[in-house]
Amino acid sequence: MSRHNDKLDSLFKKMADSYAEQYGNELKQEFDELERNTPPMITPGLDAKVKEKLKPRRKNYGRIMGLIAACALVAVIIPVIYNTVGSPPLNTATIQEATDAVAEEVLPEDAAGEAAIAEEAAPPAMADDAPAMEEPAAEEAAAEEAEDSVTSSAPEQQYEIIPLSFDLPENFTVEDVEQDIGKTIYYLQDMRLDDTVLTLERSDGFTVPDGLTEYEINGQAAYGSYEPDYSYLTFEKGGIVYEMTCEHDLNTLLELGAAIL
Amino acid sequence: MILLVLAFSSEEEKSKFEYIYEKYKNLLLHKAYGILHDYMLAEDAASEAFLRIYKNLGKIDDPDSGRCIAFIVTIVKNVSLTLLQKKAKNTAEELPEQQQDEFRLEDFVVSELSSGEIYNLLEQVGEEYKNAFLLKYAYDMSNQEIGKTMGVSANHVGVLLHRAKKKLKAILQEGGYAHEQA
Repeated sequence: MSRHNDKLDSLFKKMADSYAEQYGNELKQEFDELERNTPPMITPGLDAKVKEKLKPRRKNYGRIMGLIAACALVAVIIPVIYNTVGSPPLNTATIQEATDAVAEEVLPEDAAGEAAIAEEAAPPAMADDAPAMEEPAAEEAAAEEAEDSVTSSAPEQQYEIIPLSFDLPENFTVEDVEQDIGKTIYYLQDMRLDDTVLTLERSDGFTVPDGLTEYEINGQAAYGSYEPDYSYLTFEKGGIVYEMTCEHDLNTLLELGAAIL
Repeated sequence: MILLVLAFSSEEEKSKFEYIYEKYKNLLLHKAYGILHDYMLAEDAASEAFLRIYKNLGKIDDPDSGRCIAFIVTIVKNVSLTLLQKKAKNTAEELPEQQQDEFRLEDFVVSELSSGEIYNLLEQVGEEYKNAFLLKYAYDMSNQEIGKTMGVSANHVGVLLHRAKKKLKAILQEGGYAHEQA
């Protein structure tokens, strides 16, 4: 970061701190007034909603923990069976099937396990009418992590990265590329600070999405939209549907489209 | 993973959250109702805000401080505005094209600003931009954290911050607070 930006950042920080301080004091006065003039409110609706918001995450966590336990069980059992019974033709498909079967078996029964986990981990209830708060953040984080590890084991090899069949305009460099269930996503860094995400997907047909404006690029049709925070352009060429978004200027996308079409 | 669970399972955090919930639930409902004019929606907004507050408890040092109140009210206002937008299917406010796009604050000297002036300047930035700006600079949150708190992508937060700063620079220049370097 340059010195200029550091200076700017420190100016912004000073302004934000000062604003938060004043705004906070103003709100504090408002809060005190509210306390003085309003009798204590009972909020069963809000209490229930907050409780409800925390609940699903626990369920999800329990389900994922069940699935992980099932996978671990399979990982232990399969080699034992393999060694005991002899050497049946074992391949990844049978392991996968076995994992699925055990997972299916475990998941419906998981409600009881879930309740047990919930009971075990549940903190003491809050006093009075307040909802008993659990630890959603922890479980959500754990669940997200577990979910990631579960999904990352899904078969991906049937999809391939679709290579770019054109020269990128000079202002772009490929920052990253990833494959997402049939879609190839290119993250393009723009020298003019209008970074763009380009998605390619093989397709037999192209349906024009509703509500887009038609643009003609090199004699071919492309469809796009401009919103304050989000520009979008899509078209089809050679059996591949291209979709692109950027933060600022639709022209960034039209120029990129011109390089493709 | 167990470590992660343990790291978040803190009695202290839970007590802090419960304290904040009990103390400020009426204020948050009041603020949400002020925007939504619908008690059920206000409850939805407040409950969602409390969930986001829980996830950002680390940002709150003193639950009784003005900064804490500003933080949680910023969150509930943002959630309420998002609900309002969904309800009215409004598109986000479009910024007028600014002639000052090319203005670089780096090339200017900014006058010493009083706290009152700062307050008035930031009031002109627009609620959504101001919220992102405050969470970034006053509460040191990353774009990803802000995104989760505001319910938008980190990419979108980048756009909000970019625009907040652009607007702030323009306001500074228009108000005569930024002077060209000699």
